[in-house]
Amino acid sequence: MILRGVDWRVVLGGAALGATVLLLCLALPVEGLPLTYVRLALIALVGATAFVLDEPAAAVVDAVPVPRRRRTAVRLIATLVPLGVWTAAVLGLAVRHPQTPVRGLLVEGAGALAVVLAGAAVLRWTGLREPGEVTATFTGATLLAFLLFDPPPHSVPVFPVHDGWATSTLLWAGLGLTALIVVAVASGDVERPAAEALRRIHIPRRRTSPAPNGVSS
Amino acid sequence: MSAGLLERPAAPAQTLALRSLAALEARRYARSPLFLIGVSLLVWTTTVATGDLAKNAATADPGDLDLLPAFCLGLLGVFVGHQLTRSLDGADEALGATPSDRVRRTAALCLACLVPGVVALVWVGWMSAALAMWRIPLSASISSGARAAMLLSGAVCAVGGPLFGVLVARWTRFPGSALVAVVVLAGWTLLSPRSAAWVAGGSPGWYLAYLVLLCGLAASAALFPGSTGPRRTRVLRVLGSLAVVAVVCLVLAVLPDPARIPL
Repeated sequence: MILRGVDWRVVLGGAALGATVLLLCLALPVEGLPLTYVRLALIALVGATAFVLDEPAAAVVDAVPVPRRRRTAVRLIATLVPLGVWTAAVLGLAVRHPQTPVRGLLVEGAGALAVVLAGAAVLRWTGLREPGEVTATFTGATLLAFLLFDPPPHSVPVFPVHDGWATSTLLWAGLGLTALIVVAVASGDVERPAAEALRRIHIPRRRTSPAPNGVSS
Repeated sequence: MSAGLLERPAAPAQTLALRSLAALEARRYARSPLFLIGVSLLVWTTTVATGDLAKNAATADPGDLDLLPAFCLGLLGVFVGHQLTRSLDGADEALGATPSDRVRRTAALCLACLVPGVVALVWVGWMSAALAMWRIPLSASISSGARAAMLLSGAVCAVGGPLFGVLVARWTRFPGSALVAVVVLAGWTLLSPRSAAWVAGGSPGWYLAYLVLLCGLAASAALFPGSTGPRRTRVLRVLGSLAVVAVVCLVLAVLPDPARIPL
């Protein structure tokens, strides 16, 4: 039931855009590994993942309230779509270009998806029910800046091209693990006594708005 | 003085309304966190790149630095333009009762997109001054006019990005459309050969004109959804004319070297 609350239009649309770019990378004749375009596709997949935790109708998806942690766990299934696209594309690239650093790219993709999930989870924890747009914007812009400018320090390359794959893999693995811990911590239900009290004061004044059903997100 | 004031015709109310709306939107644009991040990033990257120019004078040309405002203000501006346009969507019912219609609000947003353009022009001025002050050796294969056109194309991209964001927000309804637009725009830009070698072979002046016309196309296309009746016909006519002239400019830009097409 909770998976029906996921905005599949956005998740599948973003995944389809990423898959299209990756298919072009696989199909078009290029000399080397088209890493810039591959990473551009990763940004589209990251954007799709950012919307997985959006809960515009959290209060009405289920008749029985479900803890946020469980909702998050179920919603994480939707992340398998962009992750699956990325994995398939990296494996496809490895067949087409034998020099493809498969492990590095797989960890990089998984780490980037975990980081965007963590951003969305933290924003949702602060009370934003639809953190997807903001998270996708900031994460997408940041990754694009790293991709185009390759800022220092170059000893730890975020998106390596020739050298530094081992360091980059370590970086993304660390970021990914930290992000997953953040997702787990930020998915706990938050009691907001002050907010609840405020809502109770405001309820009688809202005569024209529909009555809330009392299920917290 | 008073006679002069009396004889001067009063500005039409619509123009005044557009001017005040545009000023309001420009203030919102200037206060947008992403715009401020973009400006900070531009300052930082310019500082680094200007230092590198003196070192890598043999291999890099200052004209290539047009990428900096194009990304920091243009590509990030897609998000800003999109966000500013979408932020008023929720208030459509309330705004419907006000005298300013959707087309005028869109026009005001398009005018607000000149804010990053002003910052980019300051950047062009700074780059020109830096080149002169520090006497950075310049490639002889690129004329000063061509180099100025290359730098100015970065400023035009700084306006074009936000206009594209407004256009996407007006034409699409799905969440995440800004990121899709940015990915498409970045892919498009990366596909184009934008090296000094191309510009030396092509015509940066016509390419600049082509970019300006693309901005006009984006603004006209953004105005289209809300327009009705004769206004819609006028917008369509402008769109058609701009598209034809843009294609002509692109052809003139690549004519010296047709093998490289910088869409």
